[in-house]
Amino acid sequence: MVAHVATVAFQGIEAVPVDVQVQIQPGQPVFAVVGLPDKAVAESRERVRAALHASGLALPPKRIIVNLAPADLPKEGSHYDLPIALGLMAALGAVPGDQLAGYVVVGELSLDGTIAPIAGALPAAIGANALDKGLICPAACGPEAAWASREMDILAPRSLIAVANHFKGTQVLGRPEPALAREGAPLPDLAEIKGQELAKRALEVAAAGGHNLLMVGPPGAGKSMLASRLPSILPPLSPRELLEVSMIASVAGALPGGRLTDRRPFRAPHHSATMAALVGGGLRARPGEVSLAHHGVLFLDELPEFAPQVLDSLRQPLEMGEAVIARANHRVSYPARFQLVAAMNPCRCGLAGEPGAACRRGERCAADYQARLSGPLVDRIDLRIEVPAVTAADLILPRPGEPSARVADRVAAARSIQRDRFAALGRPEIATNAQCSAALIETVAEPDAAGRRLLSEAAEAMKLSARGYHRVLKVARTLADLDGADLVGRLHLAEALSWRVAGERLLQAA
Amino acid sequence: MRTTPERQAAERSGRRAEGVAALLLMLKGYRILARRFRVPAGEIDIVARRGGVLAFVEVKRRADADDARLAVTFAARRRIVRAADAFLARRPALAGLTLRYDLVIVRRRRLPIHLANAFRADD
Repeated sequence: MVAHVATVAFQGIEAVPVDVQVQIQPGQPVFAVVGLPDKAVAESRERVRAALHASGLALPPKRIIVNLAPADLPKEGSHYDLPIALGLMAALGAVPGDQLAGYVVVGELSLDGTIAPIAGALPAAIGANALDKGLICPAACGPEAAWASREMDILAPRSLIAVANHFKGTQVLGRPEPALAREGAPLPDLAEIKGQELAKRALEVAAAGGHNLLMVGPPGAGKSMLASRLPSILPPLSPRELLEVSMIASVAGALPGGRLTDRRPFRAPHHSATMAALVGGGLRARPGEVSLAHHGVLFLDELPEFAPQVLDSLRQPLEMGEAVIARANHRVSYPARFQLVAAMNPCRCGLAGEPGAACRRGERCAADYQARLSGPLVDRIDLRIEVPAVTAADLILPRPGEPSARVADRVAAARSIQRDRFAALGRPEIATNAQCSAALIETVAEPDAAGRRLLSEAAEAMKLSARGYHRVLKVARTLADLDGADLVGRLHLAEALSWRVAGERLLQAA
Repeated sequence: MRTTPERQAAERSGRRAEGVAALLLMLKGYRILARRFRVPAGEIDIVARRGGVLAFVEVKRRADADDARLAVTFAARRRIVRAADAFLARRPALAGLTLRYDLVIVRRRRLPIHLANAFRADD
């Protein structure tokens, strides 16, 4: 007799249905798991056996074969323990198999029969809902899985015995409640930064349009301080974005207590990060920092200190909005629509361009340092600003800066204009100007006559690339949105060009 | 194997223990199909059958039950499983039964213990 239990395998953030078949028949008493299991799955044998024993069930002296179908799909992760155990219990008659048929089952077993939390409960729940089934998942993952759908049937038992009791009807389990993370510590506020008005403006524009930002300045100028205040002016995640962000976090096992938060992710990997850490991959395909920063901010401090190869691996995700990872036995893609914010010193000693500073290595110092950044990467950064050292006079001044909340209101207003515009054009998947395609931006950011003249002259003089040209248009569109203007004027284009010129000057002459 | 006086004594006590174990199994309703089944790959002390269950029984003579369990090492279990395969190859009619590996612990001046399903073929 063969018992069937449905579970899932994760490919990217998608849950692929997997059928767990358990057969018990006479023969040499062995317990084998087949169907391309990896080490963690093959080891589930021991955990299942111990957990069943702890629940008062012994394996019968019979041949037990567990098949994970489809057999050619590699199975990895520890969430196969529970479906295998329940399949065995169904085959032994300890739980009714027909009642299990309505559920997708995921969970890891402890040796004492309790069910341990797993990564990916949310995508599993969404996958189960798509199959019109309920979900059985660990108790700790219940609040997370409950987000998938209001109607679907979700069981979040603490132990194997709890599952058996539920189906027997002696102790019926209730549906877990979706949990939202409590407001964490308040975010650092923009008002704490004195001076740096230009940088604050750039930060606001970047937040409003989702543009990439590069800050160049000497050590101690406040680049990292500025970047860490970006989340405080970004609008909260929309429900759809929240779901996408949470699915990635769930697959990465980064949802503490299964609580979801509507705060945009802010990822700041150290510059020793490898390509696999940043883009994703590794032996077991896992989302990288670019995917964990989906719909949020990826902050790279000390940009030139990153390995050049690692930085160039960002080019494709920046353009496509997804990270495609191809390995010998995987080909998965994770969404990675993030906003890149980078900070760097102008040279190794950090003093190039400072009045009165003289470096022993002279001009070469800055040139060598900046040569570590590839042109194509810098070309993808719309806003490049110089963050000069703050003078003591600025610090002494008691003038308080504008608080984050006020800036956030302007950003939210500009974002809602963008959302409405793209929705009206029948492209509701585009949320910001930065995500807009080149063809579309030419229609929505049509400059007036004076603006067009300025743009053509500037494009000639600055030798803008085609991508650079479109990126200037996108920034100009955002500036117009911040102003509440329908048309992109000469002023907006001039400011957009100035953000780009600043970078050009910084990166060539400095 | 060299035949020393100690070895001969051990052999005799082993045979006595097997006799006790076989008696216990028969009292429990098992039919003894073979004793000291021996092939080059390994050996089984007792093969017994009751209903649909075919039990391959290892007999251990120890003062302490835990010592007896530990005495059935991984290598010893492998020899028993291989011998069981050989036994089934000679008696294919029995291969469809539920196969079980048991352990009988024989202790001095105390009742012997029968551990059914003491280990599995892949342990």
